[in-house]
Amino acid sequence: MSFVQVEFLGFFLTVFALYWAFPTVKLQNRVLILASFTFYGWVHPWMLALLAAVTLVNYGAGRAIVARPEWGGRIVGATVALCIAALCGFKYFGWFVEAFAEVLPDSVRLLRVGLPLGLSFYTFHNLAYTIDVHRERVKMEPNVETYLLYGSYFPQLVAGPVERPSNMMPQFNTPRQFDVELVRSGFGLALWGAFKKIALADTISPYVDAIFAHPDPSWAMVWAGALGFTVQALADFSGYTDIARGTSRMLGIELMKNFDHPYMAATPMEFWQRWHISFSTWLRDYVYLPACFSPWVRRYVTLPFTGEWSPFWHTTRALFITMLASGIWHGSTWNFVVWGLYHATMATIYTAILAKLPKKLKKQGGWRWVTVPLQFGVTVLGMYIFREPLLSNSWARLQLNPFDGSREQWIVATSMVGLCIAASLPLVAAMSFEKFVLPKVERAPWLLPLQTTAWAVFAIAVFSSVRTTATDFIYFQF
Amino acid sequence: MSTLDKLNDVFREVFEDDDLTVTRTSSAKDVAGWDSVMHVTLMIAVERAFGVRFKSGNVAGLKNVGELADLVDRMKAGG
Repeated sequence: MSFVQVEFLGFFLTVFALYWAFPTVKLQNRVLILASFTFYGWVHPWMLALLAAVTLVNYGAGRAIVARPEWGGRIVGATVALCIAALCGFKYFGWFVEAFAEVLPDSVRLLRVGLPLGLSFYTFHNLAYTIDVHRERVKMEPNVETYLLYGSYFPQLVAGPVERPSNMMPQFNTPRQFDVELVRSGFGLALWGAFKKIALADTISPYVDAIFAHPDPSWAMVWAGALGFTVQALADFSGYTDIARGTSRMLGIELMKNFDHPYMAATPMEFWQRWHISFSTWLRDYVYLPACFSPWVRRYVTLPFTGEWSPFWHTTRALFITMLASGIWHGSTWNFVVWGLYHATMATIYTAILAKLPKKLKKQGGWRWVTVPLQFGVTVLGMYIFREPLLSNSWARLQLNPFDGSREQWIVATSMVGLCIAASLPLVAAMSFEKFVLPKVERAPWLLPLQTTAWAVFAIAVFSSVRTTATDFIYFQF
Repeated sequence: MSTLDKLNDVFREVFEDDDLTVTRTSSAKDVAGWDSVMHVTLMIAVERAFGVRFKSGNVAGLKNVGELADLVDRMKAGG
């Protein structure tokens, strides 16, 4: 089930009413487990088996680590290998069949194996628990029901945020009281998320698709399309996250923030602190830092020719490993590999340059006025590489003459840029209101009517923009 | 000199800022430039200053400078 399906409204209202009708945590958790499995098995009930398997394997691993701490490393290794093998099996089966079609028997070649919805997200989410139990950052959860809920909680199940046990377990184990303020705030957040997804992202989406599908675009069309996808990606994914966080808040469970105005970043490193934060920090804690600090790396991987352990060499190498892993995770086409390497290269270049610049310069008022637009350019190019599956197309189209193009092509490019500006206005207005106005007027008597009016506008925009053929969230495919 | 004072010196050296003062509650959000890349550089500098050796499990998920100071104290005590 998707948040933007009409069925979800009925589903959530039922869950919401049932959930708050029960007085104890135990019963509320049971409602949420039942709801999560209904939500996930709505279209393909067989996928429930996979969700239950991943969840129970990690629950068992947590218990085993505590029972046999001396085997902790091996248990974590085996659990990670098993879960990642299952993920890769589903994710790259199509690629594997295509690559080895000539030598594979028909029985394998004709199999159609799709990626189960959200498999990546709940695999990462569950692995975080097993690794953190081993690292002694969280306590093992003895209650299988609480763990089932952690592993399958529906608001964040299919596309994150990739939560951590240290944030979720205490909330699942604490009594939750109905709080009208939380429900109101959660509803507003979810409605804002739906507005971003349906009124903004889905409105731009067909135009972006048309430009990327155009066989012979001009240079201006290429960059306008890239800009369009940059706006669409943020509205789509942050919209999804806000619906997830909002619905969860209405149930008294707070999910972590996943976006923090990423296009206001001044450097690639800052961008990853603001974009898809839950996954960026997951990669940092479970891929990047082990690639720097694991005892094996420190013993055997040293600076070429010197045998020394250099921070710059190790951070750079770890950065490339992490971004390559991120690229490969996003898909089996080469553009994702290049996208990962591109971001690692940019982060390395920025790190090297920033280290040489005087501290005073970075503290000057105009610093961000220069660096934020520059980083936005880096982001747009990254988005273009991400969206265009054919590298040959990317390479050829980025080399086009900027001044070429027919009158119609210039009109298309200009219209796309205009659409991007129009779609960005609500995002910029919301950011400015949240940062500059809200702190000063939190107790103003007119704030509530203003908020209600804004909600009405969002609701009208959502219902007038919704199409019968609603597009899926971009991140559902990963 | 307390662990926190010594950590403060390390922070000043790594972030090249003599005016920087960290407290137990300081986190990456409070220190300009404390990103993933600088985190590794910082951890190496802390290792060298205190004569300890971190594993990835130690340095991942540190919430603030207080947790880092406690970690260093535990490792120095052999825990």
